[in-house]
Amino acid sequence: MMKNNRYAHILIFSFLLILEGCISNSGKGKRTVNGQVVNNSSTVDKFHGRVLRDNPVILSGNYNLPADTKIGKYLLHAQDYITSNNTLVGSCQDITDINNPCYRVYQDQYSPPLISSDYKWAFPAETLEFNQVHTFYHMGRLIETFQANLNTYYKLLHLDSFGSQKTPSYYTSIPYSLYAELGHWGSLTTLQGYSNSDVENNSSFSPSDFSIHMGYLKKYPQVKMVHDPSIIYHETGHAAINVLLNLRNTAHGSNADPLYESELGYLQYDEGGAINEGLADYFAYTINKRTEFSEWALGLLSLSRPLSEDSFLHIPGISTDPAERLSYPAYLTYDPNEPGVVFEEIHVSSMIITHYLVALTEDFMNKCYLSKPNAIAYVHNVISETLAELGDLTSTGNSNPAFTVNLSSPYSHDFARVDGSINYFNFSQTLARKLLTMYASGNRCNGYNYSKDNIETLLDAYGLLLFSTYNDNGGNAVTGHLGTNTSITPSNRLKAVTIPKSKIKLVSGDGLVSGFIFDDRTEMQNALKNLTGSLQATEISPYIKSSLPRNNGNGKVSPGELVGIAFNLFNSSNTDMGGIQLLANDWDHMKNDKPCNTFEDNFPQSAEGAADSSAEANPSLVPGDCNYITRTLGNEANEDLYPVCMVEIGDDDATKWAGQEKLRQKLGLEPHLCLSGDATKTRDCFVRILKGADHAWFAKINANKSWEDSAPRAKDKNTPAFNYSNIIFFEVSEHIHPGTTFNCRMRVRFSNCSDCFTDTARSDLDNYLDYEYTGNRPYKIINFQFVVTD
Amino acid sequence: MKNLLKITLLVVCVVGVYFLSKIIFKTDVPTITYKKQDNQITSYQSTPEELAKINQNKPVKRTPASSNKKIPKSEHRNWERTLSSELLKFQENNTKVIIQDLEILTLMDKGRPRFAQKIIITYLYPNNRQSGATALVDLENGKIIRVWNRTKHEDLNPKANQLTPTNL
Repeated sequence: MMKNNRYAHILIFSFLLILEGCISNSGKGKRTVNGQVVNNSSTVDKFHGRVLRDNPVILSGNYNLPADTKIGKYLLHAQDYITSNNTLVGSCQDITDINNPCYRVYQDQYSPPLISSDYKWAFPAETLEFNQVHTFYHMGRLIETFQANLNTYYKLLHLDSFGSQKTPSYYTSIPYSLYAELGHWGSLTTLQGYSNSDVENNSSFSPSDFSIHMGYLKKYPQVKMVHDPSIIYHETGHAAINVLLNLRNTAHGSNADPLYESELGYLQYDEGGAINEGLADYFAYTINKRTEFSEWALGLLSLSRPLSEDSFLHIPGISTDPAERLSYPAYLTYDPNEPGVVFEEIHVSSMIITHYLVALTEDFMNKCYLSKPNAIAYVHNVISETLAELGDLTSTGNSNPAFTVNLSSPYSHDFARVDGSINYFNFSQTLARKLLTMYASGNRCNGYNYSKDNIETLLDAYGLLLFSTYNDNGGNAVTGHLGTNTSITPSNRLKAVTIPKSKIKLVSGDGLVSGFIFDDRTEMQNALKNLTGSLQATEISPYIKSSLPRNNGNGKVSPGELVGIAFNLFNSSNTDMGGIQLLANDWDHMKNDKPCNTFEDNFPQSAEGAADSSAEANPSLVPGDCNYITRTLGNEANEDLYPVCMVEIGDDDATKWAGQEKLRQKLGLEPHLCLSGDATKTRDCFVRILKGADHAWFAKINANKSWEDSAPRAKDKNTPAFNYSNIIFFEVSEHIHPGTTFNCRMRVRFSNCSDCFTDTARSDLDNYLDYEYTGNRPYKIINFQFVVTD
Repeated sequence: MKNLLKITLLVVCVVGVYFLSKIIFKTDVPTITYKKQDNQITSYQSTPEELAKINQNKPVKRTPASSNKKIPKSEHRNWERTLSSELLKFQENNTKVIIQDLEILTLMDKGRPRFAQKIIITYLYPNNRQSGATALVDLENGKIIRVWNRTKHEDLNPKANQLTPTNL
């Protein structure tokens, strides 16, 4: 009996063994079902899974692929290495602690991490798990490439063949302490990727918590942004840009910790934002090396972007011929998907930078005989140097001890926001200087030199040879004009045209609108909601109630209102103007509450209340003089920055212009009733400009046209379409007597300006020094007067 | 004299136990959600779902020898209430704000020390969208001194923000 039982056991055991083999072999044996790869644990090895290697359009070769396509059919048999951890956490250079990883992915913010108990990462393609694995894989591709390029360049700069420290061959913005201070991945730890954020038509990068969120298409909810890897690269690219911009703020060595961090782009539209988007698209290019961006997700909505003139997305007439490149500022508002329509949007204006960087890559390949990956690495090095310098809030800029950027610490963050904001001029100039330093000599371009002529001709083909010198000596108040600056070769400037600032002015004349006024209650409530909700404006007067009861929509400035004004600027030159920035932030134009009349506008007259500057030297070195410009944003003794708006005060003898504090005193208004609500802040007692909405940007003004006539059109096609970034927002006190006249003295500049950044009064055509951007000389002054009506 | 010594010892013991218990049983100040509801600002302890939306595991600046230190929340949160009211003042109902503490700093403002705190502000909107930024807030009055690191949204329909002038 016992012997029989034993045989029965053996038989049953053998049967089960055979059965198990059949079941477990079923997947491996059937790796496809109906021609589609079966993507599950049984079809992959440990640590592996499968992802879409590219977006479905590229994988299928079908540019008309419908949105309801099952993406699983584009999985390959070949497996992809995912991770050796059991959750989706990734390491990078010197960041290997899986409890504090370099990057990780979640489905969304509510879900726990995806855990693979068998360390296998294969899931059916339409699942949330697949999306996470796929996102993780592609984030990793970009991060690894980014870190590898940065590390290789760092070693080249700072380490000899034995791994010991050496002196770099040139002044560099990449500090030796980069890795010791963990500046190679920012001040925050882990880049979190959320593959299935519940937001429609949206992806985002959040630098405050270092995360990327990827949503879905509203029109086709089954299409997730992550299904198009170029979008993952783009968003991860924003993270990389943030790291580079703050490289020297993180790895600041013995310099004081800057407290804050740099941003590239502040408003709905500005050139910093456009450059940021262009760089992010270029980061996508560094991985897939294609000349189109997001053929699938954005392509379904006809929003795919070209990255090179070679792209089929472009209209005829655009090519890689130098005369037909996508040049600045002509193509700032050009969208190939709707070529006849004017767009003022950062993803449209970004294309000039992306096209330039792709062209630079190809130029490196041709001139320095580099492979594409190596050429991309070289461009990556230049971008790293450029951003590290421009974003430096320690103000040191690079290893040249005489060189400074962003005014001086601790004023650098305030300075960089408006007066020193990044635009196409200073970005191109800095990038050019880096190219010159890094590759134009010493045979450092793969044993060759990438010549100064190469640098300048390519920039010029893109209309970006906007500068006269390379500003080698920086912007320091003491050293910024010392030494020699490298000048451009004038004959290389064939396409880029610069315009004197005298050619921009405010529209004026009968029947013409010099300022578009926005005071409709609902629209201003929405504006406040957006401005405060995006944290662009954070200091609203306590006397401006959320219901905006005083907003009457009468198209005039009335007491108690929140008013927006878009100033209608006119370009009187024969060339398009690009990157127009109107500054309404506080600046150095008044002394002791009296307006200085030492500027080009000669306003006001001495008899009209101007400060007495008759005894001053010009320029003056005495703080407190009209002819002295503050070096520290008004933090020296006797120096202050004043709000732009001054007020007309009737005197016994005459009418004079004065600061608003004078009016407050005359009216006997208690200081705490000023708009700030702070009794110590009375300079903008009656008319105050919202900080954060105190500068406006306009993408382009066509030759001999106003912005009104150059701007994108509203739905009615007759009026301009306004973005919040076109508008300066004013708080108006309810204590103003109707009939009071204000004059707001603002400043304007633009990127292709011949004398807004270049001091043409100097024979060496050096840049203005940083502190001068707090004054008048780099700008055209725009005076706008209005009467407060009842 | 003996009695006096006994009383003194007793007082010392009681005080010691009191403070020791505060240290031992110290509870973390919870994270608070501020929500605009019926045009009023309400507040409550953040739900797990809301906490999941903010990155609670964000440590301080990474140093080579660091561990995941938790920043102790300061107990006096008047500044947070003031700030949150301001942040929600112009938002629609059901918008929420959560504030996470980073480091406390002492700034010198014209020779006077000013106590400030670095924070992360997160807006949670009714449409599931969220925006955030890092900010420096004045602990005396709850006003924001500086903001940076704002969320960058890539909207596929940016035209929705446009306005119409009233003087045409």
